[in-house]
Amino acid sequence: MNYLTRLALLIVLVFALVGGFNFLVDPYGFYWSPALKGFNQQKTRADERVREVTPYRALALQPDTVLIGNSRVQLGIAAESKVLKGRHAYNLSLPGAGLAETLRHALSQARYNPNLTTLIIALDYRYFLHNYSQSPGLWSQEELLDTITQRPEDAVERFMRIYPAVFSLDTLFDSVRTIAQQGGTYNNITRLGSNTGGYYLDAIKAEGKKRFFRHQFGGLFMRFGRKHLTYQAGGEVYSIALLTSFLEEMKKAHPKVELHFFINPYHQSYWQVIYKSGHWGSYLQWKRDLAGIGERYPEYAVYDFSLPGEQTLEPLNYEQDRQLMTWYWEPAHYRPKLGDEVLKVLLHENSSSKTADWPIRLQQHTIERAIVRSIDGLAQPD
Amino acid sequence: MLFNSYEFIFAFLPLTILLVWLFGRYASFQAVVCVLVLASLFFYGWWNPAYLAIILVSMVLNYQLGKRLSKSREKVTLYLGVFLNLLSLGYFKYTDFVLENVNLLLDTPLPLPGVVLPLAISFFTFQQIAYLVDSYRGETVEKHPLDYALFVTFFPQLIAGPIVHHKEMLPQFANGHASITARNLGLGLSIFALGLFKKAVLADGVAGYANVAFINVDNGVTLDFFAAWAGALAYTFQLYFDFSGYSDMAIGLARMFGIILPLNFYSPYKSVNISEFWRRWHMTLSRFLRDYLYIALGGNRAGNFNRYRNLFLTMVIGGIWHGAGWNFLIWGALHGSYLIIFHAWRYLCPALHALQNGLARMLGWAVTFVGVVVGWVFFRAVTFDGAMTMLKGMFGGYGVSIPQGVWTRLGESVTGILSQIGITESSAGSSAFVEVWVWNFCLLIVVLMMPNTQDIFSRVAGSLSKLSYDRRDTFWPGFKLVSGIGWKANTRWALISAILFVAGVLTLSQVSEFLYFQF
Repeated sequence: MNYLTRLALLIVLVFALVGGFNFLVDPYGFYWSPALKGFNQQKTRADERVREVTPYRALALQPDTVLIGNSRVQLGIAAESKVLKGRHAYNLSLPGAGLAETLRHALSQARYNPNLTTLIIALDYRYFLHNYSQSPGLWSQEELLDTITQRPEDAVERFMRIYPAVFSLDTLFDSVRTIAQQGGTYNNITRLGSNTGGYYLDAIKAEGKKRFFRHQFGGLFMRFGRKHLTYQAGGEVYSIALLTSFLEEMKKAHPKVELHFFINPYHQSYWQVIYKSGHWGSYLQWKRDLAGIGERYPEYAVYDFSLPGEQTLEPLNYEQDRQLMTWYWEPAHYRPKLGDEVLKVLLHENSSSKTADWPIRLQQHTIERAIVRSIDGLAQPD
Repeated sequence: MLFNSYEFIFAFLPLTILLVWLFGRYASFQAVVCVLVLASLFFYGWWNPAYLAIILVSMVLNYQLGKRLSKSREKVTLYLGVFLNLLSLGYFKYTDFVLENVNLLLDTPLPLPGVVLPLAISFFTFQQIAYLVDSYRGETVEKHPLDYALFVTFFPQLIAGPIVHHKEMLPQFANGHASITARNLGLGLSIFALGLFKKAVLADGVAGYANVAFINVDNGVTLDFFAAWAGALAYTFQLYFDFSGYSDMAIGLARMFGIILPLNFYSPYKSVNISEFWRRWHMTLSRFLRDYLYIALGGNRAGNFNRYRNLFLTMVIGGIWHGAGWNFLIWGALHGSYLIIFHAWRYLCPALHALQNGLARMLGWAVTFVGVVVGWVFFRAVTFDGAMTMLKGMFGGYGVSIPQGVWTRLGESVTGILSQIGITESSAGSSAFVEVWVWNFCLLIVVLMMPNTQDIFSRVAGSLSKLSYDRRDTFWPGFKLVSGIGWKANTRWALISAILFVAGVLTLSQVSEFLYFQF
């Protein structure tokens, strides 16, 4: 056999080996390969492709209950939670997901998942901020709906997006790293889309809370400090209009789907960041506007968990520098233990919270109480 | 069409090989040349069919002028030819730059026409100027227009070199070298695989870190010592692996058709002095500048002053050839100055210069390497301010810090010492910090210790060069460990080549142009 023939055969062989290996390890969870403990069960590299994988798996699995939000929900609510027992739940939350992206995935689920009964959607103040210089006011219903409407991929498009990844060097490196990182403290996207938060465990263990939180606070101040983002312009609130448009569509086209909204349970120190960044006034206005939504659409509850309570007022406890907080990974992200409390309230089970005013369902007659509680919470010593 | 693209590797190349093989077997050799010319024009026109007119006009004009020069040896015709070539290059490459600076200097509102630089014009213009000069000197004669067309357009080297001499290509086109054989295909594919790996895996792998650093400084963001050096080194390696990878791919592709191209890179980062660096970096451009510019300016014929002046001018022109921008001119002037300093040093301190022990070599290498990295800062930065910000960072002007995530893992005893010497912790990302330094360290090991493509393929005449494991004026740690490595047509090398090829192809989903395409 001459050199050229050997080379050609070996090229084909190496291609096949790499493709087969990547398919077997399935580092992003694309291919439904068996998840073997100690080999590929923890998808430690899945967050690299989370925007492709998570929506894809959610549509393929067709769960009855879908959790949607940003990284707070991804890290804070486990789709595997006991509270969700009896349901087929999936966490379709994506880090950094803005309101439009969140609603787009929610609408996709409503339209293309025949099993869907319940959508649990987290509302995040930061993602209601909008750059009004890019899209000035007076948006039509069609425009708003267009923003959150997504055509589903056809089979060919899906195939072309998913399968070429087995023939990728990045995937190969991620396959190797997935195997090497089994059992370690790394972020791991579970088969149901939740993030186990290994990164936080590792960071707090290595750096200590004080140092790590200082870094996180720096990032939060930077994000809230961006000048072009504001809540409203000239009395108009784009994000509220977008949410209203979504609700109209849900009411009209998918009335049987239960919708639960909630404001993420921010830690008290997070409220301080909002306050010190000069956003406190619009943050309270945002709650008022959500109460307006709650009033207008009584069939869809909006719960405010961002209020003082045993959990949200948990001391940062820098004295125990390497010890995790009970309810929070860090001030911007809560842990699944707190996520369970949220789920219990939303799904009408009893919360174990000892505070009677936590949470508050936002409506016209409750909003002033929520505002007073918010201001009280801000004033608590941190 | 990029060499590192699916359409090139899996469609254009196999089809061209098949056609050349068919025509070689069932038709005449001229038919093979014709197929290669048409394929090359298609390859060139893929980017923008409008460019075809420019290259075709340029080819016809230069061919006619060359034919006339071969017969008449008229100086006027030579000057006319060189002038027309430089005029077209000047128009396409420098019009906007000149007008912009005139506006700035004289405060005039002259509109900028926004001339788009046709791909490869710098390369095929220089190649054809050399052809005219060689024709005038009687060193080359072109008889057949198709051969000439292939000399200019041959797709492996059309876009970014190597810049070939007519006299080294013509004999290969004329006597039927161009043919498809299993040996040439296997050998060519192996060289191509190595080049593809260098470009797609190594250069593109480190490119992201370089881009972030230079985008930051060009936008006024300051970088501390480690971040600035990490970015500058990342670009140093990116450029080398990108361009030498491209050259290897060109050499490998040509070899698949039975054509041997000149060598373009020979481990420049092993050089212990700047003169040696220029003997090993973009060798065919250096050869062109030496033969057609430096010598034309008088070379080293009229004393040291004129020699230094000619060196400096040659490097400045070489700099501005790379692009219409002050930073390229500064880069050229910087290298011109380096060369003058080096020659002066050699002249003034011959005994020190003659030292060849390991320490002297290492020192020479370190000085040369740092000088080259500093030069690349001007080469890469889009703005002068960006380059100066980067350099200030590299010289500690914005402090020395280590990301918090790394700092905490160093332990208190180490961080205590670091604090005492003024190193602080920063809020920069620790994983990117670690990744870029791991990349830089690994690539430094590769450029310093590994044999280059020429060394590996020298036994089978990988290029027109005879160089093989040449250690003159180099710092090459671990030479003995690698000096026996040489390609053979066996299963081991087939496996290595297959792995390199597959690794390269596995990156193709991300489009990545070659850096030298912009020149």
